[in-house]
Amino acid sequence: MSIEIRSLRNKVAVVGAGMIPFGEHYDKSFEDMLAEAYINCINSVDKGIDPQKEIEAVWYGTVMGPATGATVAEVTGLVGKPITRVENACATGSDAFRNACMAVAAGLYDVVLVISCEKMLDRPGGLIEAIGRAVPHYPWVYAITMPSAFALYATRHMHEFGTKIEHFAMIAVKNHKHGALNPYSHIRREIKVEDVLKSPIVSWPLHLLDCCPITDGAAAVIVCRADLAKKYTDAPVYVQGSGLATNPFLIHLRKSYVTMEPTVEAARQAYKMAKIEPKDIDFAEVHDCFTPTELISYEDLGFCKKGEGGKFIEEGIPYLGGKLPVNPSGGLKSHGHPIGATGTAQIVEIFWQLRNEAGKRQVEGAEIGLQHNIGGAGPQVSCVHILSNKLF
Amino acid sequence: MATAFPDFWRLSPSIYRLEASKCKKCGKIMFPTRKICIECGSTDLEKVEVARKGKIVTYTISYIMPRGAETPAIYAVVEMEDGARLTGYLTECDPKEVKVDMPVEIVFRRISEEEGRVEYGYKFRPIR
Amino acid sequence: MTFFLPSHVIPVIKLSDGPKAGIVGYGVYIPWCRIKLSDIAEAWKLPMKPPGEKTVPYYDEDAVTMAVEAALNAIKHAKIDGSELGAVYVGTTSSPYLEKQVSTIIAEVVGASASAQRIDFTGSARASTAALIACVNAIRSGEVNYGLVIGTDVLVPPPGDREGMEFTMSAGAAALVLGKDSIIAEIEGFATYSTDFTERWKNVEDQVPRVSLSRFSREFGYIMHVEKACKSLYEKLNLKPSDFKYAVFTEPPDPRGYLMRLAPKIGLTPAHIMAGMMPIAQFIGDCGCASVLIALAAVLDMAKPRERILMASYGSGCSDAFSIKVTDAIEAKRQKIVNTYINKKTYIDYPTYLRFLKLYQMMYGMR
Repeated sequence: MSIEIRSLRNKVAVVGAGMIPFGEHYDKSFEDMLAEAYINCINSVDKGIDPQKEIEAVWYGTVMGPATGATVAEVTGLVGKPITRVENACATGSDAFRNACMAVAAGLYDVVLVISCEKMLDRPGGLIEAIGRAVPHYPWVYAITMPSAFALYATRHMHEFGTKIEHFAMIAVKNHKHGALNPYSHIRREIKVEDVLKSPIVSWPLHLLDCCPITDGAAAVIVCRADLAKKYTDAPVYVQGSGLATNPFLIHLRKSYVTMEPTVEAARQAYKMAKIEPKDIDFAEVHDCFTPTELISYEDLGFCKKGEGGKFIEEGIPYLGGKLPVNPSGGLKSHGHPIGATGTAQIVEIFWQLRNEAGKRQVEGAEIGLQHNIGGAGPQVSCVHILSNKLF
Repeated sequence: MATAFPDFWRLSPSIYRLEASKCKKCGKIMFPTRKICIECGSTDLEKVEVARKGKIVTYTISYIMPRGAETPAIYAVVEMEDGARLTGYLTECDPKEVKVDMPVEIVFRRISEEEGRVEYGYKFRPIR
Repeated sequence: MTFFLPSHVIPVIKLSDGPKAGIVGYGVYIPWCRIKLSDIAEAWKLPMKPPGEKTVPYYDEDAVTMAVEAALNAIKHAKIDGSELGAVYVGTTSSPYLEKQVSTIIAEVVGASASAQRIDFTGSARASTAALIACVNAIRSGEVNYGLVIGTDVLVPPPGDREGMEFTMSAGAAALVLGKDSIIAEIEGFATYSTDFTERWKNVEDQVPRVSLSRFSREFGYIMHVEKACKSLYEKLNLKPSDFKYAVFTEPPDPRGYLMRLAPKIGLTPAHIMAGMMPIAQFIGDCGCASVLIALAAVLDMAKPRERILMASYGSGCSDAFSIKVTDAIEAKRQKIVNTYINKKTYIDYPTYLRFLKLYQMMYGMR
């Protein structure tokens, strides 16, 4: 077992994870959700933990929530601890996790908490108003809605590779099927391809059912040094690879509209750090804010060749029970997308899968899982982690 | 939330006259103007105006827009004749006729109105 | 030479006197959307089936956006750069603002320098020729080398009105680049006749105009003022009707009815007025300040060297009359811009027309 510099491999472990069921929680405030996710996370540590004594630092992810960690300190009782607020659009949850892992791998802290939370449904005008302009004070010439930003990629992919709208619909069907098995999922009903195609068009070629819902949610994990993990659990999950990459902010300054370059680069960094290849991945939690994003991510993460994302879903490979299940949790499409909390929730799901705790949606024999999280209108940023229940 | 006055005023040479930056070292044209070349990192940039005609690279047709905006709204990435790329909305185009590689030209139109102030800017119109 | 004149004596100016000012380039903008007048009649279940059509601005157009396209066309035709303009004069009655200049917006887009004089002219359909007079004076005085004169309007009639406004009021823009050299049509001179007369007006609180149209307003408003302005022009420049090949006018509420009555009073025949009247009357409609300049453009598209054009505007009791003489330089800059724009069209239905003219109220709920 090797330990290297400039790498997280074999240095960092996740020993506890928890989230609240995602959904429309008008009866819960931001602070309520934060507290419940925290409690679920603390209670999930097999051998117990005394958080006020043992947690040394906190990384707090939120996009629209309170600005500083003071809220987290007050709600959890971790007053006085160093709490860093991380924000990276929809990739916030992963970037908070990544920074926590880096601090532990660097030897600054032994045990830290990552907690992310997002309240989306209190805002008047809903999401379309809030994110109508990627930068609110910019001139309207730049205004674009979230679905439109990703639809640009769908159109070009259809033009270059003959991908069909039905392929996107199949991905929605798959993720609903998985989500129906998940008690934490926002939406828990199965749908058919015809349901997607009959739903209203939001931004051609995207239909309403191609888009993730607007969700409230919170998730938390406890990260500690790999060599101290046994103090907390006999089944830790190790963080073996991490990657983060960026795209130009303005859509027209990017190079390709069929490849999301930050995903390719972040995945490359993560595979390199973990010293594995795409074919070694057993299952993945992928950022399906909109179904075409998941299709293009199959290609960008190396699960299939560029242009063959349609074939990949047609052949049933990413279904539970298939060769490479993608989004066994139901994905953003079904499980929900509380922007800042999503990335951390993906880590929680992978934690449960790698410890055989995923119930009806368990991926059989899972040993290596990949987490993929995108941020921004069209991909501005992409974050990838590779986790395993084994040391490499 | 209205566009900030100083922000629009700073950007108006680009929004009104399509001012962009051309890198003297590698030739890349970037819209709007800026100080550093995104391609090669050079700071030796000159001001140019982008060409007024181009072709659609990709597009989407939005039916759900923020308050006050007309629908359907066709949004596209367009590559101009001089190689510069812009994003923007189409006008006077039926959703049925838009396609990749369609030739378009730049026109000056109302983009939005907030608190009584009209915001003008560029849009793309199919070349007929 | 300057001398004080009693107000009733009109100075006779020899045509060769003084510095020249003329048109170096011209452009128009005619909206793409049209509505058939018979579709409007059908929407209101009116018994007649009027022929012809009128222009409708797209939802994202207004007087300013149309002015910009017309101006860019004129500047391109004149083969100058926007930064060479010393004046940007805009005549319109449909600026989006009661306070804020639109000439500054248009000047910014066409690239005029910060020292170019920007003036908004308004008040009636005659505002564009007021802008033209000011620009001619500025060039003759040596203050300005190149000047941009724009007439633009989006006239919004009350839906279902019974005065015929809905069958005529439309949208359009036209622009002239004036200068001293390389002129394709010289503005030989102008004359004005004006009294306080009201037949169409709009209060600051009105969304649509009000009219009082009758035989009285036709004879003693439009026709009398234009007749007197033209006769004053003939006298001032020592010209007679037979010196003119074409005559163009601000579109009146009933083009054929008004202009056929006016023509003999100023010694003109139908042959003079057809070329300028027909495109506007059949395809465009009453676009306020723009209509007389679009009519002029339609004539310039076909006029030959040394032919003379009589141009007269009218609005709110003011009429400006001009004598414009085409030069030999026009052939090298021949264009057919009016027909090109007229032929690029698409028809819309009545509900779309109401939507594009924003004659609705959109309410949103609170959440």
